[in-house]
Amino acid sequence: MSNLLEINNLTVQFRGEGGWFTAVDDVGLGLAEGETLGIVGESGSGKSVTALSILRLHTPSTTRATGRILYADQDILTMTPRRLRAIRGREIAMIFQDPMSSLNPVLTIADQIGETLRIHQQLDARASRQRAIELLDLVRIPDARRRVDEYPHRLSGGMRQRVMIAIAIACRPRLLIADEPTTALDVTIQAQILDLLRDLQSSLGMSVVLISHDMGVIAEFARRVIVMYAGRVVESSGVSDLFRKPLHPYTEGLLAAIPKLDIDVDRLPTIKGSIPDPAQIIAGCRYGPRCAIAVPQCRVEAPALLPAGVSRFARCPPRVAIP
Amino acid sequence: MSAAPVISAQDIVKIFPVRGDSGEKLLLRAVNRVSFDIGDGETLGLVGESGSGKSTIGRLLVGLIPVTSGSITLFGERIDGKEGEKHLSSVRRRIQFVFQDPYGSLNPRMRVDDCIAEPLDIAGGMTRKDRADRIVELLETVGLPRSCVDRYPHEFSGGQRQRIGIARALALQPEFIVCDEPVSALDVSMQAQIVNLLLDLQDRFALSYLFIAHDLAVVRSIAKRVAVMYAGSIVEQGPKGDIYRHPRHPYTRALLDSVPRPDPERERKSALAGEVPSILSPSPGCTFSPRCPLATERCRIEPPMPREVEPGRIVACHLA
Repeated sequence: MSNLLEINNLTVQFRGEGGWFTAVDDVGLGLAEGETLGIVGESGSGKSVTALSILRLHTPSTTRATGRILYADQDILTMTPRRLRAIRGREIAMIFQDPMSSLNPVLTIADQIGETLRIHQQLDARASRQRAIELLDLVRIPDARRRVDEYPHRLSGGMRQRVMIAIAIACRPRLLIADEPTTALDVTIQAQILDLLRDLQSSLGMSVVLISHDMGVIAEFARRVIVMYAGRVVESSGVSDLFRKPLHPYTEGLLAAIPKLDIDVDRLPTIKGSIPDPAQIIAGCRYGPRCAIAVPQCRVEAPALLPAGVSRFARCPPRVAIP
Repeated sequence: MSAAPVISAQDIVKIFPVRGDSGEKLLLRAVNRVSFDIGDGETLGLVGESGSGKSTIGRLLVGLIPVTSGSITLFGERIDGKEGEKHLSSVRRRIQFVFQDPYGSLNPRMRVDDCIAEPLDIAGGMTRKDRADRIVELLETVGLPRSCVDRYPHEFSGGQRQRIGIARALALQPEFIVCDEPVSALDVSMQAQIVNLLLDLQDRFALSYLFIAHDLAVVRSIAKRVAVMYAGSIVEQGPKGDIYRHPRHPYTRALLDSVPRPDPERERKSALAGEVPSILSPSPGCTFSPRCPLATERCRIEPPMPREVEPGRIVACHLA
């Protein structure tokens, strides 16, 4: 069976002051029906740019995207605007980090959930309000019948994110893209939202792409994981293998640098240097300047993503070549 | 604690007057009878979720806002603004602040050397050469090259900017630094560098820290003792090993259980229900009781007083 989502050789460039720079470089991934893929990386890794590309949400005049993004065997990058509009919000839905700026402050919750329903399901005002109440119940907002007529500023951050999720699942999408959905939330609320997303995924049978900088959230939620660094996929793996035995030195360094909740350590291991600026051109491996195991060849030749076991790939010849 | 504490907060309360939805005057009790001591060279980690009052405590300690009641002393001297402002400027240089946002806390129009030297310039009495030497020394202390001096904040990454903020905090050789979420805006690989830098500086200059953060794991990596805040009160404080291994307050336990671990084999416990209550209309009993899985009738009526349940371990819970 072919994947629900299949991305091949996706490269995304933005026009900046000094010309075009590459934010996402030759990214590929596949996602089966009902599966959860985690994309993890730090600032500038290209994880959010990749996610936005799936819905073609970049400004066309300042963005160039090449490659293929196949959703149900149709290429999103070459799709007509009309076809794209029919897919956005209906078949593929998205939730973002900041629920406050994603909601319209001057519209009630009923209006905002109803918008999707009126456009995609041609419901009238009365039916869409009723459906909005059901959806608020589904995302476990207490007292939904009253809350549906309130404005976003009356809701807490956690409740706003629940509203965003209600909007996203209103048309029962096949694919949900969640870009840092819990990053702005307190840890006890994050746990509630992760539980909710997991329950909804199994009851609705959605595929989910979860983007996060938090290895804990990825470990908990994803089945497969893609690790991105400076616009490239550096490692792709099942979640257990990745956390048990990371292959790429960046993944290894990132996991080691996470502060430990369950043990006391004297000093945290660190990755030297800083994340490169996206406009900066680095010869060879982009992680090379920070890498502890780099060999001279790493500084010259850009490494390919190499197979490294059963459905595992890593962009690190020194690691993968050694059996 | 054996030696006299560097800084001591006793029963501090901070009330903000606010306006309600229909314009009525309300009193917001942001900090409710909080007490703690921080010893020489020690770090107290202050953890809590948004609205718990942890940042307000940081602002009270450095004198950005006055306390409503209670006392704050630094080396035994009152610094809470209740006993006149005159002597404060000499005391306050011994306390500094590192802010969360390395982007917003540096003036974008000031060169790095001027940012770092601003406290020196305000204190005055330095020759031009001493000033320049001190800037270079401070840059090296925080791991930045001396070539930074004539550059502007926007030319630096978040981690480097936080180093600049730390250099500025160190300029007047303080004994105590309030670090308010200093690494929460940073990427993981930068976080570890800054946490280690703060630990190194503490060893080198015998600094005491109040380290405010929402991230329990970050706090464990830097603090010796930990205080957990909920809705304006400290619900539990004690040595960090004890708190993390054997939380005594149900909120501390729930907080630890909520953190997703970087271990896919480990099942997270189910989430704590409900949200942080509005501190404008607190419940008469324990503020955590509406969410507490263990709450009894007594918890809903009678607020629990903090008590020492074992040496150095203070818990505000009827059931602890």
